[in-house]
Amino acid sequence: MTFDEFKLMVSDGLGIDDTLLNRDLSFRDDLGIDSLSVINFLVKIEHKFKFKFDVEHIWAMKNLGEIYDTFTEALNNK
Amino acid sequence: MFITSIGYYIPDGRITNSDITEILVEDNKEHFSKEDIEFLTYSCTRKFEFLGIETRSCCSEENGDHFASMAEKAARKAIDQAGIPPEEIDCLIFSGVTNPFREPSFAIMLAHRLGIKTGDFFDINDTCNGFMKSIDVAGLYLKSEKYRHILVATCESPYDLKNTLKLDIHIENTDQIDNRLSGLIVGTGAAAMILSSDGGKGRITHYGEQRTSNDWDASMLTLPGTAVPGAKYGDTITGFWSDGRLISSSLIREMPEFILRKLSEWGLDAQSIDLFIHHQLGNNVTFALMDKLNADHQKAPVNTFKQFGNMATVNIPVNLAIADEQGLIKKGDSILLLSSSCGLSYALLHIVW
Repeated sequence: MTFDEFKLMVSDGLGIDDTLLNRDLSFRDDLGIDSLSVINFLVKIEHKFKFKFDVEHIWAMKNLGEIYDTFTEALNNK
Repeated sequence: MFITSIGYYIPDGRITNSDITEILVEDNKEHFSKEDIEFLTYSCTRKFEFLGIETRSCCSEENGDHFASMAEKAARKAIDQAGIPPEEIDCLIFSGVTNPFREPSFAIMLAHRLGIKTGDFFDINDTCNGFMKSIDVAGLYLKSEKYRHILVATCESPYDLKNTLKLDIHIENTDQIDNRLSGLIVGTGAAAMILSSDGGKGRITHYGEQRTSNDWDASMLTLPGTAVPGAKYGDTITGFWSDGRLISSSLIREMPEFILRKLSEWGLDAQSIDLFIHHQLGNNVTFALMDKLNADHQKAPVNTFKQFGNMATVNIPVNLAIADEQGLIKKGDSILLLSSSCGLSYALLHIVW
């Protein structure tokens, strides 16, 4: 999955205009997205693609780029 | 105003994440498809893991714990530790959110059980901020010299209340689980504190709070079928409903600014605080708050959410007592208690140990 495809999935899942999204954006600090909405989004991704994010790692991820990298790595290692 | 002693009691029963999801499935299996139930179970389990909760404290049948007995145990510990005879306690303020008493006040019954025969005994309700608000009210009495020793006490037993009111966790669609999630991470316990006009181990120097009424219905727990015209969950409410997304986003957005403003008014700053005790909603919320304050995560070392869940009014006094027991507090330490509660309200209490 390319980053542009991932952006569309984020846009759809969190109701954010995809043109606003880039690798450096933080859900919390830049977009004001609450942690429960982020968890909801991640859980839906996990369920759809049948893998699990590392819970400890997820809160350390600072921006969308890191979430995308973690997601693609998990998909490749599935 | 001084903290003379703190007592607490956590029952040894535990409810696991899978116990809770089983209850959720049981309450909704009739009207959901197999696929929806499977997603609901997965989604809830993972949300608990992300939030960092493993178990919730609850009453155990073996110990015969109940609301009154737990409150009494915590209060007796505080009284014994203070070494103050019950007859010298002038006032008892009780504040549990899940207080099942409407008539008489729970405080007057607790006073009777503790052997406090006469005095000023009353309940207050300030949701999760109830214990901090009790301290604020006690401070007014102590400052005016009306009273010398005040017992502030609280207890939470949400699963007893759920059973008593026969509240199931019924939802109409899988997205609605987010409005029920707060009720699935609650825990049981009791705490009490003796506050005195002189002496004691912690001096309370400041209390501040911020309240706004716009989101009054962010979280609701009413008697079943209570008419609440205009509430976001419907015109009649049964059970525990909350808007977790609104609460967590508001907390992270608004509370740091409130804290920094109050600290500045008091001539303090976040870096000078040695220990933060935060209302228990999971470390991701606490640490997000600490980041906004530019404070080291290690200054918020006590996390009881993982084991006990969110014990509402009981969180803060229990965590303060645990920090003291574990030797995490030194004489002269500057301690900040951070409370958030529905309404929405934020409160801050500063102690010099």
